[in-house]
Amino acid sequence: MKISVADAYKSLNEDYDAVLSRLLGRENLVVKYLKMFAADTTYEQLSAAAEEGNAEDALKAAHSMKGMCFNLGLLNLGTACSDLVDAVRGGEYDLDALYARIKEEYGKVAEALDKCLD
Amino acid sequence: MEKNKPTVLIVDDMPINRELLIDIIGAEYNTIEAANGVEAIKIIEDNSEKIAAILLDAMMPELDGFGVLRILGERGLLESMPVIMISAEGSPEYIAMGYDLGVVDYISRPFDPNIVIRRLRNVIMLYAKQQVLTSIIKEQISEREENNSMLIDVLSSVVEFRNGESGPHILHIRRLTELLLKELAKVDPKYKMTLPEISLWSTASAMHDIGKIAIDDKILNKPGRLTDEEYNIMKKHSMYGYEILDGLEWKNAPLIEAAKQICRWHHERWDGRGYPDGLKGDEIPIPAQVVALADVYDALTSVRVYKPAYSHEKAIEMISGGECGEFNPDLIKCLLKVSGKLKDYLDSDDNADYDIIAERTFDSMRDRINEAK
Repeated sequence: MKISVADAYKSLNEDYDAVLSRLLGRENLVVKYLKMFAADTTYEQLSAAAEEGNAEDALKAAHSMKGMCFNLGLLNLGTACSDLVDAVRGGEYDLDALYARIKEEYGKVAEALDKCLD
Repeated sequence: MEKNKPTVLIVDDMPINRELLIDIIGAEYNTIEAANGVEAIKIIEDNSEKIAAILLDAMMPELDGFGVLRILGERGLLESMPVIMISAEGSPEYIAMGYDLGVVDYISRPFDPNIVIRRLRNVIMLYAKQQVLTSIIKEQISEREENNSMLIDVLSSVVEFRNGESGPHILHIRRLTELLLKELAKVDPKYKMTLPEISLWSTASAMHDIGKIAIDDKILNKPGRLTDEEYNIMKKHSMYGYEILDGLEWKNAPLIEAAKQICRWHHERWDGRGYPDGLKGDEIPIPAQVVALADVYDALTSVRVYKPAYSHEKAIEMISGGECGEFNPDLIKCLLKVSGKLKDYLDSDDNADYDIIAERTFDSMRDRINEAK
């Protein structure tokens, strides 16, 4: 039993209306981008880099994720990515902890998308 | 691709970001996609005429957005191709760097599609307008320059025509002056002039003999040698030219100032044995020296009532041998240096149009004077 995209955003504590209005008010477009997001491999690149302790590659992947998330209104995950970018750039960081937060947020998004997308 | 739509290049490594931008602007523009900076540069190289604007991501593998901007800047492409940077990067240093490298606008993610549409539209309009204006101004300036030069040549030719010195004399003096002034700067940097200065002097050179308008026909066109008395009257033409120009309301305008010097001193000689002021060496302004040499060369290679036309080789030999008075040695050096290409250069591109206009103007002037009598 699938849930609506709006309900999926609600379960993630994200503002679906804001996303919809930003994406020209067309739900089919939102669905198209969410599908592309679900199929995207940037998160896998981020995981691999974080597990290897490669902060530079992790930063690049997190930066890409951040842009996508913000456009899709996935602000919790986007912010977690943004925090990693800022911290690594700042030079003082705990890569494992930063990645753990992204992993957790990504898990929630993946679960919600799984419920609403075909 | 639809023909009437402008083309926008979208550069972003994330397919989802490119897709989003295409959905936003696709109705209004043809879009081309590039997944990184290297690809973008290649596409720009192949389509520089076609691309109306670029939407450029900042962080990308291979070559990032800033790298793309640097290359475009170096190749002078940013003047005609507006770049809007789109990035999730909100930090002021990055935005400042984008502007420093020549972006016209910076849009942060997440963005409102309407902002992208509006800014893109504005930027493309602005650049299109600027390009149209630039080309209109360029056209008008060159047209005006051409008209000015032509007018000066026509009026100067009217004077020459009265003297029976028709043909391409004015054009030859103008070209020789330009060529020698350019060449002089190569011999010694102290002769260096800007291109507009050279153009000013060579335009002014066309007026060197306008003072002859005040010399009696009988002396001007006397077949055979002039008496000493007649020659002394004839020599006054250089001062007359100066006085005519000095009586003008625009006597201090750069072009008239240049023409005044050339009129007055184009018969001075390096050793001080010329006229009217007997100036010597460096006292004679360089352009006047150049016109003096050009005038002698062209007189030697043209037919006169008292002499046939000498060959180019003979003229060069006579001038460098000191048979026509003494000239600045640097100037002689230049003349010898350009000697090889001189003949072809002077006769390239026909000046017949000027001659015909001058002749016609002169005829109608004469008719009117006769009617008035």
